[in-house]
Amino acid sequence: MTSILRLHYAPDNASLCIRLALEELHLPYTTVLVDRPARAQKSAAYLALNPNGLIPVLETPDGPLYETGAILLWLADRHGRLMPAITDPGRGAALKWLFWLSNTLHATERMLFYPAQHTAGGPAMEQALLAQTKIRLAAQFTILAQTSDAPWLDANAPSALACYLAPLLRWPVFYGDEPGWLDLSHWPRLLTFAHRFEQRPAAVTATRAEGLGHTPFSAPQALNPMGIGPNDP
Amino acid sequence: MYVLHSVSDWASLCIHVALVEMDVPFTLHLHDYDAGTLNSPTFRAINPFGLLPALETPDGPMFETGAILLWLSERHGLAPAPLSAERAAFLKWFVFVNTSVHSTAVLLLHPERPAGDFSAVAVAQTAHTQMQNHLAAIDTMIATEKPLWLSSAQPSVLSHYLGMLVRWVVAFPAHPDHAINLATYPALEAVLTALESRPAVLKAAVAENLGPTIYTNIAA
Repeated sequence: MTSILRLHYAPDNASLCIRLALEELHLPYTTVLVDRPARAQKSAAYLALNPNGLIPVLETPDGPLYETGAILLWLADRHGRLMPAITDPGRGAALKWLFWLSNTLHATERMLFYPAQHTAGGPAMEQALLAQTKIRLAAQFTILAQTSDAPWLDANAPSALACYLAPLLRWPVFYGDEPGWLDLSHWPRLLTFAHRFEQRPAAVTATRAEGLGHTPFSAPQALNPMGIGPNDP
Repeated sequence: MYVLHSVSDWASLCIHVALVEMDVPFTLHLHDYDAGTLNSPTFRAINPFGLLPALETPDGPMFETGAILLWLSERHGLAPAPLSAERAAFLKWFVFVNTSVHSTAVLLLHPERPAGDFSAVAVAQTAHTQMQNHLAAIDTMIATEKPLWLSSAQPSVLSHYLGMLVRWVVAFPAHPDHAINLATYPALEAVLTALESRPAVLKAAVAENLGPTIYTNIAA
């Protein structure tokens, strides 16, 4: 019998968020490496799973799932963990931060990693976009670090939101523009989060599987300096 | 009792339609963008990013269009139940509309936002191409999978969300030659044509001073 859940991943891609959640849930799953250098995510077989040609895909008994935020929410609700239950008064705040991570923080980082995908204007415009995007990203971290309705940010507990945020704190440190431009210590609450999260057994297992080093979120090192990005273009 | 923070014909429109469709009591708190009320400390306490829509609820303030729609649907319907078999497909397309269609629509309407006027045309051109790809993917999905949650047969938070976004990209791109022609996506057009005549949509449209065909024919 085949595994019930099958994660299509590439190391240090957005699939990392899903692997972290699967480990937090202690679910059995198998993985399929997507050969990004060969652009396997644009192959007919992969497009049949996700017509948008993006990583990750999670194959489930209810069909192939994609969109990082959707997969995290589906897993959490299906297993009754990682998100407040639907009747929980904290559900609304958790949902708003989940969507914010997905369409604002993650989207901003994609502009940083892949400026050419957002402007057809050539290198000068890409540089202008990068400069603005770095300012916006820092402002977003600042507001997140000040919020009073994100208990998952300070708790040592399994959380879909934590599984999404941790990689988003890691990637911009070395993908997009010159490595090291972003210093997480400007946001002590976020740095504390990263320290705590990377010590969780689920995070240790998931980041070891992808070869991300011992401090993958608080002091990340690039997986591959040859330019393979954290998200699928 | 909910309080919806809104400006007529802004992203709050889809929440407005959904609340009327769900038949739950709410009040509209209208903002005056030019008067700067979105920057007021009172509103920033509700949404620190100063963006609409925002919804005050008994569980605290919410923002993010997609989160508000989904949260409301979990309480008042208009989406597949969380443990249903259709939930997976519904969620992936709902989040896709949020991360891809909504974000790209904003770039088509406001291409100067990411990096100023200097790159606005280039950003808009890219967004125009992406928007056509996104809508083609949705049109194909509707035609082949015929999901109830994006159909003429019944409304959902996803169909009203998408209807509003289609309104935007047909009528309001910054550059008129980037306007989307809905007829290119016949399955999507059929769904939105059926839904826009629903009493809930017409009621919200009147309250926001909009015409009778808000998703497919903005000029009417």
